[in-house]
Amino acid sequence: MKASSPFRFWPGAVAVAILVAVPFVASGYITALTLSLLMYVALAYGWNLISGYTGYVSFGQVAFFGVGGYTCAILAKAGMNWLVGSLIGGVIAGLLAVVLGLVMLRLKGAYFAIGMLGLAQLFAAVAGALKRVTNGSTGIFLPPSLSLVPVYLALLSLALTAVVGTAILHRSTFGLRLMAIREDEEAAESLGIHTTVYKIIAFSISAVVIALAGGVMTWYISFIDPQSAFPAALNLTMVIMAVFGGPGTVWGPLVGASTLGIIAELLWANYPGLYLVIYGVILLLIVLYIPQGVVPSLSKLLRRRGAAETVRKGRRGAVA
Amino acid sequence: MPEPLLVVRDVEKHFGGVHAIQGCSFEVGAKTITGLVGPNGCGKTTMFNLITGTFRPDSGAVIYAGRDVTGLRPHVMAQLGVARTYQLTRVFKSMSVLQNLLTVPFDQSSGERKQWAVEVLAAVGLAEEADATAGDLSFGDQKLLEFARVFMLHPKLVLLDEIFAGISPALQERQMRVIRDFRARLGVTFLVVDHTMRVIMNLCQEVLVMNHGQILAQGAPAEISRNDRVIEAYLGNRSAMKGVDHHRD
Amino acid sequence: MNSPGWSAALLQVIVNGLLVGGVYALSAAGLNLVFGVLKVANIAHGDFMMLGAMTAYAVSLKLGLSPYIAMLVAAAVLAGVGALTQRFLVERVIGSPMFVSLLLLYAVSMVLRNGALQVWGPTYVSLAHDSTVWTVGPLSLSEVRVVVFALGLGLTLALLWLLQKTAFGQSLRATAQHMDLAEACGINVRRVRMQAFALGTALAAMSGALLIMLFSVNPSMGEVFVLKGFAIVVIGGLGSFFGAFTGAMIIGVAETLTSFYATTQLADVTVFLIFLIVLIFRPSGVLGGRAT
Repeated sequence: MKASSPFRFWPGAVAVAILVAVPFVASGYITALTLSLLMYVALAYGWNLISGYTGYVSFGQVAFFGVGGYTCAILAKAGMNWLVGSLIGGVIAGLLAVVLGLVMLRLKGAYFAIGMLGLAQLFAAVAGALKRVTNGSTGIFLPPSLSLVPVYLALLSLALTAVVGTAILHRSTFGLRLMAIREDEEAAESLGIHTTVYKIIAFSISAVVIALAGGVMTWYISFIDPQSAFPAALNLTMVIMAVFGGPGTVWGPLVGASTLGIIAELLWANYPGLYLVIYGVILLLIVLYIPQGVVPSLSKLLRRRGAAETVRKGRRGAVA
Repeated sequence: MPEPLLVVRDVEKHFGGVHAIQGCSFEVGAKTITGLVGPNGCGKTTMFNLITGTFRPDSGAVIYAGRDVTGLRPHVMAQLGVARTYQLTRVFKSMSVLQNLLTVPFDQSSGERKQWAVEVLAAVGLAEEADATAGDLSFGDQKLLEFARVFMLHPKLVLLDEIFAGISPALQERQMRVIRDFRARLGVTFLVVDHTMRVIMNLCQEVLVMNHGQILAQGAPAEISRNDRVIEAYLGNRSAMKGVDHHRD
Repeated sequence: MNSPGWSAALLQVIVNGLLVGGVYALSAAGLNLVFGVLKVANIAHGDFMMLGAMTAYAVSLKLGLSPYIAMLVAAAVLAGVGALTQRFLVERVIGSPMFVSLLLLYAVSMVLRNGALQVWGPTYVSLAHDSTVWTVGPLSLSEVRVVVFALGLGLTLALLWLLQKTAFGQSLRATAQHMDLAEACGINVRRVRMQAFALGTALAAMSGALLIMLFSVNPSMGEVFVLKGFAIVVIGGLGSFFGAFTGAMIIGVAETLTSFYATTQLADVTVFLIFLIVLIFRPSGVLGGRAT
């Protein structure tokens, strides 16, 4: 078995260098566009962690986006640095996810999906009701951020961490055990895997990633209300991006977030709302024709070609 | 009889109005290969589920390695060294054969784990398929994979639920060889449920016969095959036995 | 606050809840039917309800039809939409892992909801109209509430009769119980699945059409109604029609009680908590009913 890193060093380094340079050299429009894409990347990886790896399909991870956003907004209003506020938001979301996971992850299949849908609505209702802390449906206004650069770099770090973390996870025993839960939870348990603990950890890390994105975006937009904190549209966005690229894969969410993110950003300006219909149609087509997602389908195609090559050269494939 | 590794004492289990297990008691000697046979629906798989913690008994006790383990969760039982296979094969289909094995065990470095996995795959004859996707394997190979996976836990007790069903005699022979080998080399204890009487008679030192959720008889294979009550319970009558036996062979 | 007034108000709220429950029962029957025959959790059910409501509204307004006729038109239209959805989308994922059908219906739900928002915008619509109010003891019952309840109840019972007493119902039940066996017995299970889904969406449409005679709704209503629907069927035990009827009454009452004594937003929270508590503590349903 080859234990090579999934990253080739130089292409990766060049890509990161270009991304770091964007806010300093590119136009404001390109920077803002890339910033949105980075947020989508983080969200898609966050969703992928729980739903792609353990198979617990969540239609309500956006709940944690709002938790991160509100924590950041409330703390920033009280005078705290926005980055520290976002980080605290991540911690709070992670802990909250552990507690909620104890309940929610006992629900199976469609019940979990619907339950998470309800949870996001519950969070929005609570945010609207706690007027003293959240200012209710009026929302919280923050002083506008003067420069895109810190926000951009924060999202870039988050997105990179999510990608690298997933690549490591995918090769780890921990990752294998999450996949085992997705494939057959009862069999995983019969092999000694404490499935509850594993699911809760995945759920919690997913919540942290999504909450951090929520915190940073709240600072960027410098406003939050229950509608902007828990948008159902954003939940559709993370689901479709991860599923398009390939749920439970390392590169799928990246492919999905960049492709569909650009489509969303282009359409959004001229046809707000219509892009959600288009997203829905794309998700339909993906589920019907390539339910594994683009990345696994492509790599299978390439592998088949590669295998044919190997046979032609008269070599046997590497066998452990 | 050797020191028992597993003791099942007066275990009862109801499902709604169905009395699935009715005061079942038996012992499985350490380092033996014990067969558990009986007609369909007599409670063999339920018994497995009670031993491994999938179900909790209504009353009675399960004692394993001298410790009361009644009602412990399945993952705890597995970590204590009780491994099982399922009647309907349950491999992790989208993962590779090797990845299926590498999900366990818990107390080894990844290097040791991989080495052990390679050894186990070689033992069951799946070494060539290590990188294949489990879901693409043939039915027989999936059974072999699930069989191989239990040994990753370094188990003390292995419960096998119809692993010989529906596979070729050559594969059956290989599985029997592996079972005998793991018992001889590593002292693994086996409790084997199967309808393939040729295998049970060949493989086991001790055979338990279940009927209607109770143990009907216990003894060496030769005794069991002569026991009239067993023959009656299993086959209805003596004359039917030959026909069925031939058919099974 | 004097005590008789207080208890009369409580009684009034409970009765109102029960009356709304009739509409919910009708919707839940559709959800149960689709789950029973297709083994698919239709998370787009709330959006089919919405489409039924919007269709009834448009038909009633444009053609000046009575809301009750409009309800029948909506049922027919949505039966067609349901049949097409099943034939070209859902049918293709029958037998796939659960998450495939879940994602598919999530996509359907998003297309319907956001499409409806494009067409109608986020405004609320209603076919509520003034009606006679009857006074029965301390209660005042508006005619429209009673009629809507009676229709909800009557249509649910009609469905039960259809399932139990007709050859069509028998083929549905056979497919629900054992798809392979039903197929071996010469039942065209593909057609049965399509009929079941069409019937399910028609029931959703009728409940949506009845609902806008009492309340106002907008194209986003599916978001809360899918949860409501599933809360109802899990209370009764998924697949149990009588259980769902009781569940609908419980949800109807719980909701009107919270709206009355707290706020409307909290009503949705109550529904969610009921859903959660039932699934955690009594996953086979509060009534202990097995799926039928």
